[in-house]
Amino acid sequence: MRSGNPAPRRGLAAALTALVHLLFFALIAYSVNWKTHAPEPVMVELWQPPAPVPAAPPTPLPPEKVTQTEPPKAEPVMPNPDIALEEQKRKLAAQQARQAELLAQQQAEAEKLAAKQKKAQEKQLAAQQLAAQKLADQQVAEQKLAAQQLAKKKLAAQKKILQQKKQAALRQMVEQQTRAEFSSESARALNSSRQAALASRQSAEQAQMSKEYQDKIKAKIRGKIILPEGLQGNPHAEIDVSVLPSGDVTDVKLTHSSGQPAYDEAVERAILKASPLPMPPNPAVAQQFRNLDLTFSPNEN
Amino acid sequence: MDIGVTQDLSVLALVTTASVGVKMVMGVLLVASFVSWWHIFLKWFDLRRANKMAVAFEQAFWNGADLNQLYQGITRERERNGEMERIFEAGFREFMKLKNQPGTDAAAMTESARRAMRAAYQREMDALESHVSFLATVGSVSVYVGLFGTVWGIMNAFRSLANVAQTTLANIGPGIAEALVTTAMGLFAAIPAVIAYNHYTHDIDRLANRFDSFIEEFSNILQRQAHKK
Repeated sequence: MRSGNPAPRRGLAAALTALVHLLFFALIAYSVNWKTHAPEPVMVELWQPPAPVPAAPPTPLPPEKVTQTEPPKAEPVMPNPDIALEEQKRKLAAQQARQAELLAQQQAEAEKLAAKQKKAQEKQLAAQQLAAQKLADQQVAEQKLAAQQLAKKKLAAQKKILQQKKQAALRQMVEQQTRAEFSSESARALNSSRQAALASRQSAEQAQMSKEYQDKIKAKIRGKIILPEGLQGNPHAEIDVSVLPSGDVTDVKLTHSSGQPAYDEAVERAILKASPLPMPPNPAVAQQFRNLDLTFSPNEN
Repeated sequence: MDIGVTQDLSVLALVTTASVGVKMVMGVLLVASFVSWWHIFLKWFDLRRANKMAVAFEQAFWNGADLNQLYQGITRERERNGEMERIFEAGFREFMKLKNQPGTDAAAMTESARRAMRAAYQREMDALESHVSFLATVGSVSVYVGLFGTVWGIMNAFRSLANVAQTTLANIGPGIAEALVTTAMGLFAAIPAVIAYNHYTHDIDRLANRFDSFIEEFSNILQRQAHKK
């Protein structure tokens, strides 16, 4: 103070003091913030492959590979029944056409025959009539009657034969048709059963995928649950979760409380923290995941 | 203390959400820290300057300069004098006064000059040691003040648990973190203060020894001069 110029020294000291404190607070704030942000980049999502698929390797890729490789195997099988069916159909159509032709020919022949017979009868009739006119009127009338009866008989007989033929043809046709129908039906049944098998396989795959992803989602959420202390019993909390196709959670609704609000809140918080949830790559399956009904309890597996 | 999904645990949030008692403790510690650091810097500059000037004066003194000339120079530029110059000035002035009075004893002249120098030495030492005791106080007390703030904050944290049915670490964690901020501040104020106090008392002791030995040596010179006459 008695030294040369104390005022500037005091100012310098004050400035240095402020600097030291600023440094100190900056250090503290930086270190504390750094500590709070540090755990985030080291987040690891651990999940186990679902138990019912022991053949599938634990990595998440193979199931996708399986689903990708299987359809091509199935597809070459699929066109065959169609081709067979079409061939059968074609054959059947050809047969039917042939039968129809045959029938038409038979009918035409029968008609021709009938026409010939009729002509012959008429000729005979004319001759008889001429003869009768030549002989006697009575005889003519009698002969006429007899001739007419004879002609009628002949006609009836011819008609009978024709009818029999027609009936036989018809029966044959009906038989063939029914046979064809039966075969086509069986083919269709076979085809549909194959399709059903394919569909069932696909649905099984989808079910497996949905189960796998349900397990994944539950595992991810379960990893985020911070169990409140002093939890009693094994409470079950049912929660309805609305999810976007991207996996982002839009809404969390408690449908059935576990009876312990702390656990309900912990689960809800965990679901929000777990967003985005893992979504199955198959859009059909992902569609089922838009609205998830999840049940949580602290002691499950 | 809300137990939300995201807990803001930044230092600023901890300070702003603290209770009134903890905030007061924080304020006291902040002021103590500021003042102690200010004195640390002031004393640092002062002691460095005193040391430099003592070295310079000793050099000038032992280079065999004429005492009268030295005294004239010192009285001419009072603004730029150090502690040693002032001690020398006080002793030499007293000696010259007695020398100019006829019939004074040589032993009495040196004894009188020595007393004058002692008095000047005491004043200088007092000036040098000023505010060093403040550093000692901050160094020893701010830790306890910080601890008091922590205890207060933890008490509050535990009292707020009375309304919570289920106690988790998340309930008491923020309260304890907030309370511990005062301990951190107390330590931040105390550690440099203690270091500076120890360092400065050592420096001042060395300066005092230097002044002491100078007084003794200068008394000898004055005695020789008194007998020379």
